[in-house]
Amino acid sequence: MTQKVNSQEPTSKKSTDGAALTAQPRIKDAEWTWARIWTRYRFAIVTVINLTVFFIIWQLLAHFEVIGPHLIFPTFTDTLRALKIGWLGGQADDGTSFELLRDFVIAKNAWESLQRYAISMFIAIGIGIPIGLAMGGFKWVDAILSPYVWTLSSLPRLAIYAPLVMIMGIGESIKYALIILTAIFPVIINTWAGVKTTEQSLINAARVFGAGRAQIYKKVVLPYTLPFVVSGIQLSLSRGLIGVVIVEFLTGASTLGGLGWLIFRSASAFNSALTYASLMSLAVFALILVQGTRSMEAKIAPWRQVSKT
Amino acid sequence: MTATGQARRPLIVADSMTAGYELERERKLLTALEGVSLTVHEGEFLVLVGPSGCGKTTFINVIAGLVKPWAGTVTFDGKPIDGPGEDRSMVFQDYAIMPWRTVEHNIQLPFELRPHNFSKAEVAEKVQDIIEDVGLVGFEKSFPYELSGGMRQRVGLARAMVTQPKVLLADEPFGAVDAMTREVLQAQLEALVMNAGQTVVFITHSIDEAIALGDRIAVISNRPGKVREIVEVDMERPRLAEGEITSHPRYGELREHLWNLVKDEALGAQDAHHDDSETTGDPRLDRLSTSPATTMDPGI
Ligand SMILES: Nc1ncnc2c1ncn2[C@@H]1O[C@H](COP(=O)(O)OP(=O)(O)O)[C@@H](O)[C@H]1O
Ligand SMILES: [Mg+2]
Repeated sequence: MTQKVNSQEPTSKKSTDGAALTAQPRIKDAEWTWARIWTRYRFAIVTVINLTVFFIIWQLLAHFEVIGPHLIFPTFTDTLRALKIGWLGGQADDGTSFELLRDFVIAKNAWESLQRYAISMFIAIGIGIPIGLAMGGFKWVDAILSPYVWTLSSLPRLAIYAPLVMIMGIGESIKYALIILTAIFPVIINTWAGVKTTEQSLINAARVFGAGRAQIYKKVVLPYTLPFVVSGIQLSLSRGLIGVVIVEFLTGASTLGGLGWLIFRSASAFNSALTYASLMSLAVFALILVQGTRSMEAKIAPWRQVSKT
Repeated sequence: MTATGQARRPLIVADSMTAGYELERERKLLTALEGVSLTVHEGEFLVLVGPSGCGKTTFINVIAGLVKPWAGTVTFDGKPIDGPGEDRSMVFQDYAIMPWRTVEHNIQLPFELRPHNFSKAEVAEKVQDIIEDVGLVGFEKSFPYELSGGMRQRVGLARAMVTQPKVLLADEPFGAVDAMTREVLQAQLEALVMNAGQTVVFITHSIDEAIALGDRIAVISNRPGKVREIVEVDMERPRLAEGEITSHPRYGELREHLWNLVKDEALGAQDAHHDDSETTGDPRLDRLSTSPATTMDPGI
């Protein structure tokens, strides 16, 4: 019984902070002053003001054609309209829009890109982790693969697109190959680095307490490497996004080439509203992706966060 | 526990043992210990002191089976030491507990790594018992990063003692712990070991700690290390349970004698240039930050 109470102590120590807050008598609504609202919501308030000002300036710059004609720099309201049609449908009826801006055109192309991206990332991570583990764990695998991995990962990926395209043409498979090639190295290198930097004293401890080679991998090297893999995946995810856009830029599809294709295609057709609408869609997706994966390492390996500080 | 007077059975015997390391980058051999002969008797508490870099860790690692001697023999219970064994546990200077495991899971690790005949419930009970012995009650579910250094070493000590090994090896276990916690831990260790009748080989760079804990103190000379002298600590136990050990009449004499021995060696010590930050010796890693979120990858 006492043990049970005791065993809960460390967790309850954390939760008491929260409990103490809720246990305190709540401040009455009457006491809500502007100062209070400000201190609580100032970040949200500043962001809203910030963005509003940004969009107003954009609108003014475009409206008075300061940067260039509408063909080149769309108004904010035109961009919003393109966003609405592109995502939700409702054909443009004023005859001013170009052929490209059709119902759901952004949604369809985004879906196209998302599939391509997801499959490529799945493959990149799926083969990147084993390659990194093998390179970290076996000297001869490291020796054989090392020149390729380090050359390719240091080389700007755009440079290897040309020879690869020469070999494979711009088919669907080359797209996957290029995206995977763009994305895979952070996973490989981080995984490798995790295995290589596993603390010798932890391995020694495991050996003293009876671990053989297989157990050292299972009980020490893999758990130690996990947070490295996670941040490798994070990096690879944003690399992959770059890869998708570039690959779609290179493809000469006439319709449905993906979000990257739509951005470049609409730009060369001077449908600037659609370009900016697609770009904004991509930005929101990238933002969600980055923010979503940001805390992954902290959640999976809280000890690393603490030891870093 | 004080084996003085009883028939002492040799348990660990090192006979003109030489050990060292291959320095891969510099392509040369480094002799850490040369011709060391030392006997650890069953049930005794042997302390090793000596200047830093003289090979104390190497010696204890040879006994643990982590380092193979180049020449000479080291036997345990009459048999040559060939790798780690369940009769020898170890406490490490840098704790070496797994940061991703909770306190109780760290302590139960030895039972996961070696086959045994205990049921799950029995293992859990042993773990809980040792947690109480070392004073970690209430922290079973905590992770090491939530604990202070002293608490972490309690985990290390509990992990080493939970299997009731014949021999406890301890490499400067309290070196990184603050002075007050250190005294508490010393007393706890003495009590634990007296209780279980363990044989202990204990490294320290503190003469006070050596006198407080040791039945015998072996002073190791500069690298390549040899046993310079063995000092018997003729003080009864328990020494740390209550009162100041420093007020014991023998204390001052012993301290002075040891200090003179160690001082000579410390003055003669060349700087050991092996940095303790375990480098892998891979230049590619040096270019990476140890933080995982960085690679040299240029992006596209
Ligand atoms: N893994 C290692 N590789 C190479 N040299 C080492 C290694 N460990 C220790 N040494 C060297 O061996 C000598 C003895 O080290 P050690 O046994 O750790 O000494 P102590 O514990 O007495 O300070 C030192 O010069 C040290 O630099
Ligand atoms: Mg040492």
